[in-house]
Amino acid sequence: MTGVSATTIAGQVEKELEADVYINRNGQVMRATLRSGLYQGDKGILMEQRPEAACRLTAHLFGFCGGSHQQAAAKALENAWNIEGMPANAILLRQITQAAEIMQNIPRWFYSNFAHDLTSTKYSQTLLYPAIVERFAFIKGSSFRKGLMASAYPISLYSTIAGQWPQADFATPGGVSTNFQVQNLSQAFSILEKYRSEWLEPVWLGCSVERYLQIQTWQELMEWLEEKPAHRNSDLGLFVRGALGYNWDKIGAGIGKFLSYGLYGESMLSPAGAAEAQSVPGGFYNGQTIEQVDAMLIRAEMEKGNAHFQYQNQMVEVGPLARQVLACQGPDRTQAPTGLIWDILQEKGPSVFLRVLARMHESAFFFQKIQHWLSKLDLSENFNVDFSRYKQSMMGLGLTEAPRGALAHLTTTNSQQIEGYQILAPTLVNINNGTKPKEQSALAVALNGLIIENLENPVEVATIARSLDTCLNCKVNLYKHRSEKQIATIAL
Amino acid sequence: MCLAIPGKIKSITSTDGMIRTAKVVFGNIIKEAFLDMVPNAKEGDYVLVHAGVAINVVNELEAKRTFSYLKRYGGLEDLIPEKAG
Repeated sequence: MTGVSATTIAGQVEKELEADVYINRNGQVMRATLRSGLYQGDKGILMEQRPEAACRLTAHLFGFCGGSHQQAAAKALENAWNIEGMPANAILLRQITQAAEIMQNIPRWFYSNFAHDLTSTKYSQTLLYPAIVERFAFIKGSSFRKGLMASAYPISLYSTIAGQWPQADFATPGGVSTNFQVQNLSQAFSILEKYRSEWLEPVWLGCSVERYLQIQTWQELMEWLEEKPAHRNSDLGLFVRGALGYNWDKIGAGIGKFLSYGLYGESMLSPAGAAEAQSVPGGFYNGQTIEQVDAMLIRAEMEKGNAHFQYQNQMVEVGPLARQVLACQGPDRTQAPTGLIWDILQEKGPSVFLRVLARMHESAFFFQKIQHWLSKLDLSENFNVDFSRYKQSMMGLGLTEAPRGALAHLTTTNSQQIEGYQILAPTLVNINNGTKPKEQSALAVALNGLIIENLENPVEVATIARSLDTCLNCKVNLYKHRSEKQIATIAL
Repeated sequence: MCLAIPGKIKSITSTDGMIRTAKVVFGNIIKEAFLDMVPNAKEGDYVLVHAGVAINVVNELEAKRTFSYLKRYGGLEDLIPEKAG
């Protein structure tokens, strides 16, 4: 073995996060630094490859979000080579597969990752704890297997369109490569229907998707809970009641500034085209107003090569909450933001609760989007444009949304090979600190001020980290703030 | 980013006929993984494992292709079969 430690190796098979948390005498977090075993850089593996090879290579290497990386790589080349006229079919199929990759992560993340915290013994004296354990306990919970099996349906949907997930050669500069035909379309609808009928409605929502998506405000969510026993007792209902009982709406607020690149991004579509394609808009919400993403700022920041990422000189949060906050603009971005996640953000502010609710909200949100996008396909039309005539020496930026949030690829190519390549992954945006106090990451800020009730079981730290979807295994090193003397190390 | 390294299923255990888990070999490292998302997976298949769950079966050709890419990266010899790629 060369170059990396065994710990790093294990972290690359299964992600791990190590948090150094400095607390005062009251158990309150004064500051935190985060480290991960994640692959962070050295994109030398892509150097001197054919430019298009980035689509295949990144899908293979970063396969848990392989479709997202492939799309970001294809978009970077489209940007570099000024490829225009992408067919509507290609835009729709890219949106569908991107959404499917996001959806496959949702139930799996909830039941096999986040549920650890719901069933922590810290909450054993709360009223709902027995019901929560019965439902959400790791492996033994009555919903555990249903959730994992539901996660397989979006993967099956992806494979029907694109080939083997996550390593298919699907997104190419100028479009997609697919043999998608009429029989595949009915198969895709059928798979989507199973996702709805076997998990989304009977297990997660306790009502129809259409009824759930009528909920537009915090008040309406509370009314929906009381409307029927099926709502209160659904997994969503139990999560909402449990999380509020645990006061998860009062911890882990974080930065409150959100960045999302959106699906399908703005560059390829006019406002009318985006509305027609029911795209999911991106943007930057600074806590006051929403602005369009300035790709030049992203590119400039990536060229700096700092470990921490800033947008407009500010640290930001990315991920499903950011995606849903910006999606509340509506596809053509002409209307005032509205919707459940936006309303709760304005009413109660960001928190662990809202972050998890936003992620789970996407299971219904993207279900409906995919239904719409599938219905808009015209299988008699093209799926790509010939990109060979566009090739030239250029730098290009590809922006998309991976399951964990905003993902950027920056490529420098000539017509023959890659001369430079950088990837900015969402997890690194959320956890990497700079050296100055104002350069604290979303996760570090979310931990600041947290009061750890039991120093032998600081589960709150892992809960906040997992709400940002940074890892399964979280090792917490507790230190005294003033003396920096280590108090304990706990694996959670 | 996590590197998506295919692992080979060495053995499968079934508990109460319900929960299927597998020992998955990544080069010199063995990890356990749930198979609920890949009910048709069998011994000898390559799977991608994320957070303790096998999330998809990848065919041998694609697995070997991934190993060859990872070899270029270097420093991951313990996770890649010696004869792969």
